[in-house]
Parts: sequence; structure tokens; C-alpha cells
Amino acid sequence: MARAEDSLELVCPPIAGVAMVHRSSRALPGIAESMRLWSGSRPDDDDPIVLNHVGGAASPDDLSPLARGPYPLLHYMLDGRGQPAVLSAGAVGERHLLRTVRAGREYELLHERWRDDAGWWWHWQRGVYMLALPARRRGVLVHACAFLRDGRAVLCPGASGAGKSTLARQLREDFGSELVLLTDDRAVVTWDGAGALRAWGTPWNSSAGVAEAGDGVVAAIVFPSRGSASRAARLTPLGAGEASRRLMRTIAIPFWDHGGTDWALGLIDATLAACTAWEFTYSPHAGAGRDLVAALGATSTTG
Amino acid sequence: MVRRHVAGETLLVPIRTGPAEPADGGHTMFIVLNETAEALWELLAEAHSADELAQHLIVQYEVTPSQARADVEAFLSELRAARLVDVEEE
Repeated sequence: MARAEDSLELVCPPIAGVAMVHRSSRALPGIAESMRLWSGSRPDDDDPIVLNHVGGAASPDDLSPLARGPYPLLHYMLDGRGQPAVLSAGAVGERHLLRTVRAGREYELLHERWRDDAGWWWHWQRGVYMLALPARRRGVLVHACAFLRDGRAVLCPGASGAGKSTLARQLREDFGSELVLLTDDRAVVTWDGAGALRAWGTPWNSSAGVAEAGDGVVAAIVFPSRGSASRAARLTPLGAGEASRRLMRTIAIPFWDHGGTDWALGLIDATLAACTAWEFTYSPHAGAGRDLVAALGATSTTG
Repeated sequence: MVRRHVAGETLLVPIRTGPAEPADGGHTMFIVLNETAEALWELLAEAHSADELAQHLIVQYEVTPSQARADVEAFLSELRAARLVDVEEE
């Protein structure tokens, strides 16, 4: 690690209210490039996440394997304190290792080879927030499309292929700038343990390219579902039990951490106590987005 | 393991401290306990045989011995897959 006086600092605009400070002994142009299209959410937490960048061998010898991640070459591990670490072993052999320094506050990324491509940085920034937000009991990442209607958020969670980006595209086509789309792939839901839950847009978009920095109180949960083109789109209520099971599969729960898991389950419980969950079955066509918003309006779910 | 009431149901969520094994069939995210499963889980705070668990179901819920035994085996199988119990052969 570089001496403090040699260290460069780059402060990235907040995501879900929390900024990230990168510290490194070398310039990190890829980070600035990756944040170029992200204006930043409104600040909501004075304590930024710190990510220290260190060159050198990314040795996982003191770590125990936990799980294989969603990418074939990503490995989740635990250190001797039970804190998470993530090893990325690249196809050409270079490795990067993310370690927890202070849970929720400070992390360290070891670079065997420095990379500057923006897409690569998206991946690591998301990974750090995924660990840090539940660790500081602030929020969780949700695999979801989300939009604001009358200032309140509609969260549309789903696994890959569920139709989140398709729904986001449809809403954009149907409403243009009338409707604020927050994300087509990853939302953050924050919860203070007692009050309202908020959904935040993030820079981590998918194929529809939606990455807006707004946020709003969660007013409805809508699980998108692909339906037949021969049937009209329909919004059907889901029981709370079924909704909680579906939400569990789309939320990044810290399964290695007892307190964090308990807190995340509390967030799910609070979410379903605060708003109704629905399934929106549709086939992509012009007007399907309007169908959804009209149906939600008819239920008075989002005011 | 975290046990928590979520949306009116009781969930058991295993805390992971080691890798999933092929026998796990992947990572068990959570188990939903119904009333009888919750009662069995309470009993498992102390060591009990499968027969003792089945006997509890027979007495408390007036089910047949074969049904009770089948329910206990299914529940233990799920807990074993999630590595939430140590099962000794009887």
C-alpha cells in the first residue's frame, strides 16, 4: 500500500445516498469513465464507503471458500473474522481480490494487473455496495426494474430473463419523460429499521440502459411475468408468503452474516407489510406499460 | 441459522460458512416452516429420534403413524440438505 501522502483520492457521486472514495497510488481513469453517465443520487449518508486499491499478488491463501458467484470466475470467500472477500480469477490468469477492512465502511481491492476499462469497474463498484449496504444496515441490492409514479416507487423484481429490461423499455416507449424510470436491472432498497422503505436507481443498468439517480418511497411490488400475446395484460395480487419467497430470490442477502441476514429478512417483512405485491403478466407490446400503470392506479396502490 | 417471521410465515435461513457441496443440490436459501414443522424444529433444540418426533405428531395432530413418519422424514431430509441438523443413524 502506498504511503498516505502518495495516495490519490477520487470521490465518486453517491449511489443510494452513499458516496465512494477510491484511494490509490496510481491514477484510476477507468473509474472516472465508469461514472461519467452517473450524476449521483442525493446524498443521504455522510460516511462514504472507502475502497483502497493496492497492487500486488491477490493471494487467497488465508480465505475459506464460501460460494461460487453468478460469474464462472468469481468466488465468494470468508476471512478469519468471518468477513466476506471476493476473488475474481480472470480467464487469462490475472486475479483481483476484494477484502473487507471494516465491514460496511472500508474495503481493499488487490490488483495483480491494473485494468482501466469502465465495464470492469461497474462490476467491482456494484460488488462493494452489495457487501457494504447490508453490513451498515442501510439497504440491499435488488435485482429489479423500478420507476417512480407520482413520486412514489414501484419495484419490479425478477431474476435474469424475467422481463425487467423489456418492461423498462415498454414503459419508456409508452410514457417517454412522463414517467421517471430508475433502473432496468438493479435497484437499492433502503430501510432505517422502522420507517419507510425507499427504492433508489443505480448506475448498474442492463440492456435497456436505464440508470437514473432518483428515489422514492416503495409503494408497490410488481413481479413481471411473460404472458401469451393472445391474452390481455393482467395484474393479479400475490399472497404475502409467495411474494416473500420471490423477493428472497432477488435480494442480495448476506448469507454469511447472522445479523445481516436477520436484518435483511426484516426488510422483506417490512416491505410486504407496507405495500401490496402483484404479478404483472404481459407480452411486450405498445401500451403494456400503460396497462400496468393504469391497473396500479385502479388499485389505488400508488395513490 | 436465522429463524424469523416474514410476511406471516416462519422462515429458517441457513448461514453459510462453507462451500455448497454437490450433495446439497445447490445452496438452500430458506425453509418455510408450517405449524407442525415449527413444532418439530422446537423439539430439535434437543436430540430426538425420528420415532420420537413422529410420536409427537401423532399425539398433537392426530395423524396416522405412517403419515407422521413420512412427514418427519421429509422434514429431516430438508434440514439435512440445508445442513441444519446432524442426523445419526438409528
